[in-house]
Amino acid sequence: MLRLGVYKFPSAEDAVIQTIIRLYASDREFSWRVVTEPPYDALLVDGSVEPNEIPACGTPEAILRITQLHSGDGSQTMARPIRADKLHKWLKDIECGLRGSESVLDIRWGDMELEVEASESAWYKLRRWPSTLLLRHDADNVRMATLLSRRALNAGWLARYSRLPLSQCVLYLQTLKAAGYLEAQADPEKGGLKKSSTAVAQIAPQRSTLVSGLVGRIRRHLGLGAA
Amino acid sequence: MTEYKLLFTGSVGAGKTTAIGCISESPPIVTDVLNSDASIRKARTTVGLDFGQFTLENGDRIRLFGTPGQARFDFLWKILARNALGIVVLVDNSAPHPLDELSIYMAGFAEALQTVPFVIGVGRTETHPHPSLDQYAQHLASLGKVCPIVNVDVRKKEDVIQLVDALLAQIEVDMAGERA
Repeated sequence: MLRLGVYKFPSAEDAVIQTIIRLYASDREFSWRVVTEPPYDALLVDGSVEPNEIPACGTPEAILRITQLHSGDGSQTMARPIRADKLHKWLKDIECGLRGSESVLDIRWGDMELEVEASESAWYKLRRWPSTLLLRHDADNVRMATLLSRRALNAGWLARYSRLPLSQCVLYLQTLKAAGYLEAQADPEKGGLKKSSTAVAQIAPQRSTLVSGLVGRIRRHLGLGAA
Repeated sequence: MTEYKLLFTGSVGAGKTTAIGCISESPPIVTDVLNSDASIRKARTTVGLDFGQFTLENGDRIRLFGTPGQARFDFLWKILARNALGIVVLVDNSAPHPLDELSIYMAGFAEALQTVPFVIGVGRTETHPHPSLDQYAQHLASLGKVCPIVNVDVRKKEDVIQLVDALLAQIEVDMAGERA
């Protein structure tokens, strides 16, 4: 479900908006619900609110200011009175934009037609940190993106280091790839691997075992669970 | 017993001292004085460095260092960054030009950031949503950098732990490269 925020409206209008959303909720294809706290996928804001007072929202385009009567509609404004059909259309447009940036092309789990190769040869690295739309405040997405920011990984290594199911890693790689955030690298030796820091490199001789032990102990101390 | 270092840096008022205090096993040692800079709305400010630590089950210690935020102390930054396991860069989104301030720290730690894992924590986004995290990502990309960028309230322990976890994930995957 997508999260719609309603900010600084008179209580009567707040009730109207909530009623509109509840009425559309009976439609199985309607994906929105009103929430009272961030994060927001879209935000309705009373037109009297100053721009610097508007809470954070996924993108500026997902903020709709409701302005005074007969003031005309703009790309990010809607004049009062609040009309259900206009609100519905705007929400659908925002949803299309969100889904489009997350599009996973032709995944059929039955026969595993995946655009992203799960083979050992397909290595990917982030070319920039993903948008909040793609991260969706999901800890798993943030973790996968963190790993991909550091070095090129294939789906198998991503699953190993994220400790997430391979299928989830493949799906997210495909999402990032479709949105243009990944650069493919054929050779992991050229995968943009940053040389380990001096601190890590100095842990000798069985570096990986010692480091994984250190990371595990830090995680347990902080209550993050075993590494 | 081995000692490791995590570094917290960022602009004045970004919350370095508070972040360290969240995860330090004892009240951090704070080297602050009364703030005499009228342009900075804080009663006190760090002029040396802050220090905290926590001890792991095998006796190893993780030392937490907070750098002074003012740019005139940047000579300390390179020294403190040496042999750090990771660097947390905290940014106050209520500052007038947070992206410019981030650039200062990216430049000040440029050498270390080529190898040391780092994460950017952006604070006060609920009251000051602009610039957005997407703008931070774009700004970093223009600097040729990619790293985790997350919202953080340094008064919340779970948020500070999230920052450290991002560093730990990078350290782990670095070792994959050692094996490759």
